[in-house]
Amino acid sequence: MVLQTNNLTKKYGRLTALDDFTLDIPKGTVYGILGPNGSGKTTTLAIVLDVLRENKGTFHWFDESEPNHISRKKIGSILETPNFYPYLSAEKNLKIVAAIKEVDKSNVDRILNIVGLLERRNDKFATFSLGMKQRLSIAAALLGEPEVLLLDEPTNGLDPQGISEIRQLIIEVAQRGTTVIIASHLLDEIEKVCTNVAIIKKGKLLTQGKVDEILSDDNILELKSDDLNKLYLTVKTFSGIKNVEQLANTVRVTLENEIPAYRVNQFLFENGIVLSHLESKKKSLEMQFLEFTN
Amino acid sequence: MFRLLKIELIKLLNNRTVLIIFGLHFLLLAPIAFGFKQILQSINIKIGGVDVAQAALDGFSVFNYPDIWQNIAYLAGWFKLFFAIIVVVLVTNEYTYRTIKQNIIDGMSKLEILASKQLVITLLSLVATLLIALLIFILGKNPNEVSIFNGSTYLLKYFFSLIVYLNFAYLLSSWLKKAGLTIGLLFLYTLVIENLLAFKLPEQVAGFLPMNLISNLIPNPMVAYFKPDEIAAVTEASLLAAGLYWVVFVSLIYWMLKRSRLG
Repeated sequence: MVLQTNNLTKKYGRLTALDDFTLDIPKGTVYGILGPNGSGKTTTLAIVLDVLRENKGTFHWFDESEPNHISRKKIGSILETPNFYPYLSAEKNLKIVAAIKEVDKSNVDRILNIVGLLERRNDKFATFSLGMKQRLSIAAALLGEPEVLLLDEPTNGLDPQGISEIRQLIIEVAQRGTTVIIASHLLDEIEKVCTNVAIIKKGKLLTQGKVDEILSDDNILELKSDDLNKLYLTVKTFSGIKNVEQLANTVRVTLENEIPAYRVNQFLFENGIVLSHLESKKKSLEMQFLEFTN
Repeated sequence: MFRLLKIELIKLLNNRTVLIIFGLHFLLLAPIAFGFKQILQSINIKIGGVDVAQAALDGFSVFNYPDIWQNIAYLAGWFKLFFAIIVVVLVTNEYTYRTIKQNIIDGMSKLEILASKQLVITLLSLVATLLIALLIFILGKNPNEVSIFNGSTYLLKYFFSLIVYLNFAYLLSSWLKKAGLTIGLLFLYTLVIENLLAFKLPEQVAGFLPMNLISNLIPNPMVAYFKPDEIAAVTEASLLAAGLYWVVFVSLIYWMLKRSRLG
């Protein structure tokens, strides 16, 4: 495992920001921590990066017995707000990061080139636009080819081009075998780039697993026939069904994954029901996410 | 250690505010040192009917070895506040820019954070001490042909007192985290609060209050001239107490770093 948390709990006065939060992040995954604002994502990241103390629980990076600053050198972090010395140039800021991470400073110019800041390397950080500041934090995170890339709301405040660049970066980094951890409140973002996801709400873990399992598109069929009641009772006996609802003039069937619609049709026909209407619908991920978090 | 020093030097040498304050220190100290004799002559204090300044000037030149060591070290002690402001600026910047958080996230331990600022304080004190030594060598006169390093321990005491004093500034900075507030409290404590405390407390105890103690490490040369035995007795205990203050300050800073919320 790259990161394990066991029963992490953090309280701010009476508010419990993180409640017995247990998570396993395997190596090589692109792991999304998905939850609405204020659900405890940033608190979790702050604790595992040692800038916030937990009230209870433990965490382990790279299966090490004790958290330590050496293991943090192998983690590249891109946080919501880039933190640099405003009076120092881009290059000098990165030299500080390189020295902290004990990475050779010859990497600095190469990485500035990758993020497109080489021409501005001697300009002070204070003169940069938000987009450029974000690029510099990407550069800092990528210094020394980290084993883990950690991103907190990576596309917040970025324009569409910036968002697409970040997504491209995540995909490229993941292809090299780097584990990526992304905290986000955007389902779309998690769905597009992550292999695994944990859904968190009010500091509690709701569920975790592979994205295509957890955020699977359920197969929904809408059926009509002359005798709606008979249709409802018959379709209920079909194996491979998750849920059946009788609505005003349709029967809505939720199928288990990978059962094609024609099998239902065939089954009903064999049982003497002729359908007048069959429509396959996909449940939107948004709906599912709301179901999870409400 | 070298790695931490390298990191801190990038922050320090590119910070214009810090360089200006450092320069200002010597810009003010040097002319005052050059005109020390005139300043002393203008003071009119009488102890037991003797004009102190006049007696001092009659007995020896302020620039004569070995007395110059104490005279200039004592004078430089008045200007320590400049270095304290540098420390306050450097430490509170880390909180204002949230770079202390970033440094930790990037892989520094809290012990390394403490150690790197101790390096800055030591470096600052060392450079200040060397520049004051240079000033002494420029101004020093040796009509009695004594060894010029006689009395140079005053400069070591200056170096030591600066380290303890700057750690006091570091402690206040870690606590308040804002430059203006910290400088304000530093002034208030040094000029008002400790004097009020000293007024309330018995004399023996008041002498061990931190600012009092630090400045008494290099006694007023005028007083030393008249009551040398008394002064010598005080400094032995003071050095030990100052060392204890240093340990207490550093421990408190580390404790604050450990428990502070940076996220």
